[in-house]
Amino acid sequence: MFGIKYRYENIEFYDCRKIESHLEKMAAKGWMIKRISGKFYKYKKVQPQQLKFAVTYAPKVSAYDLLPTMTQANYLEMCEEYGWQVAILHNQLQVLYNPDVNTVEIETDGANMLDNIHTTAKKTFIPRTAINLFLSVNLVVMMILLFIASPLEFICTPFYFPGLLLGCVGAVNNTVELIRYFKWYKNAVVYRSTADSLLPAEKNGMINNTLKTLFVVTALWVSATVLSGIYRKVFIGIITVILLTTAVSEFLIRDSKEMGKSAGDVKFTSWFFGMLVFFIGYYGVMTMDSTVVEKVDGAYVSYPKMNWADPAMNRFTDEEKAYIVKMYGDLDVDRIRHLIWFPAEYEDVENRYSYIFPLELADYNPYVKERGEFFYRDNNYAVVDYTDAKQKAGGYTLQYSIYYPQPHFYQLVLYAVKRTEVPNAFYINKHPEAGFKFEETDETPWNADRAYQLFDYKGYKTGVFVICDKDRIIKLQLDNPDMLTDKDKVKIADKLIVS
Amino acid sequence: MPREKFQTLTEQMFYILICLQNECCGIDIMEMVKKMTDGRVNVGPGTLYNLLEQFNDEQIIRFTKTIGKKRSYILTDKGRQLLEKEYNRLLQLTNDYQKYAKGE
Repeated sequence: MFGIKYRYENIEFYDCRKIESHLEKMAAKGWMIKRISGKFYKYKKVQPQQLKFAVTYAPKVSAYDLLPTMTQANYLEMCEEYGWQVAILHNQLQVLYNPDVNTVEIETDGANMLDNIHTTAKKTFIPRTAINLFLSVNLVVMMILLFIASPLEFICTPFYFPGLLLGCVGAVNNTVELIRYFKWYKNAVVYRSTADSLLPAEKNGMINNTLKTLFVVTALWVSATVLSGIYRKVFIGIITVILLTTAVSEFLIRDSKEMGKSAGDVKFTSWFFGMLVFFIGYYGVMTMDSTVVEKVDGAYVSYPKMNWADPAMNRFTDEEKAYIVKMYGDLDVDRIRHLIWFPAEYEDVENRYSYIFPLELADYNPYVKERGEFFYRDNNYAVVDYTDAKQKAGGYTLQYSIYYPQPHFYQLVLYAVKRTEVPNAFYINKHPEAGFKFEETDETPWNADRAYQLFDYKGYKTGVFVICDKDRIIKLQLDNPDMLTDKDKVKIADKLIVS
Repeated sequence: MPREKFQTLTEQMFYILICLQNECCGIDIMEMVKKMTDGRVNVGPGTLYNLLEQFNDEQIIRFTKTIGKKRSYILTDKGRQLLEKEYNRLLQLTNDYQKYAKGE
């Protein structure tokens, strides 16, 4: 469209001769190279023509030079004397073309070419790949630590597993890239002592191509899961910043081609500073005064200020305050701070993976009506001790956790949810006959696919149920298994299953 | 083993230094090398520019003047010694070849 074509060309940056011959073929087909960013090439439609291309590197040039340096300008002048014209000057990369296909090459000394490529690689490719490798390993370590800390949270959170996969593939991919380059360089050094030309790069093997494909697939997977989760806004924000800065820089430097410099250089600086501003702004906002602590009739309540657009939404109403004091009035400050957590936006409620919910609060209609739901939660999966609250409220409480497993982890999550109720090893050693176990119930409440109830080692029923729906697993914990009256079932169904 | 810089000269370096015994600019050098070798050795403008820069940095040649866009250079004493040394090395190679390979 519009005579512009973008292509991913799987050619290594150090394989100059291959890039040249590829660009010559494209020019013969009527596509003139306009930009090379990594392996992404941008072409513009022109009349098909036979051209000779030359790809060289100027290692002394910096990405922040907006104009050709004096040295580079002199170099280009000398090339121009022989009919070479500039196609691209992007950072250290120089692509020139000559309508005379029989003209002498720009670089006729392979040793010199190799030195320039390696010096450029030391400034760009090697540190960049090393940083990517570090970040990938960092991601893997982070994900493993998350898994150790909370396996359930790990497998229920959509982007953790693809994140781990992305980190692994990224780490292997970057390692392979570095090894391939150094192997090529080592061989090229030997090669140049016997031949005054540049050693071609090895053809990309199946492993290399598979790794690259895997990396793209997992990156898309992570993006898709993030986009569907609670970090959607942050993700969209980052993408918007990138696109906006790209658009602005394209606009600002649209005439700078006459200086022989491509848009990419200025764009990089704009992008860099754009991202810097974005992250400073984001973290600034998130860390400044983001928690509200209020003293309500002798009790402290604390909650994060999440709705920046409407601060009033972050405040408790008088009715809510009264109810909270009734429930938690005598609890100590730390406990209150730990327990109360408000999702101020409905989307957060929609995207929750698990929470614990005192049933009485579900009946607190003013809040439920206004904001969708009102619940207490402690991170995602920890069970909150409601003993004190229950005594204060004077009724039984229902605790439940909802897990939204990824389809491929459904059985694993179910196993883990059931497993958490099994007594610890010490208990089992002491009572080898003991065995808390889940048994499938005869009647499946709330039309769920199936349900399990926990029986203790004496074979008595407990108040713990695991209810399996197609896309979620709910664990209920009632004070007493016999308390699940028909009225309770309806009540719970209203608040839990149907909602 | 990688070749140490300017310990031995490539053909292109050798011919460039021969040209620079008299003051001349880049374009002249390219033409002269081509003529001297009947087109066997070609020096590309990029290679020539880089080599001139390196020679200049190592004080093997020195910059003399600029006329228009053309920059001229000439060999320094160090450059002459280097060229002479390379000539002797090549001569030695030739003699050894005559002596041992052809058995003269």
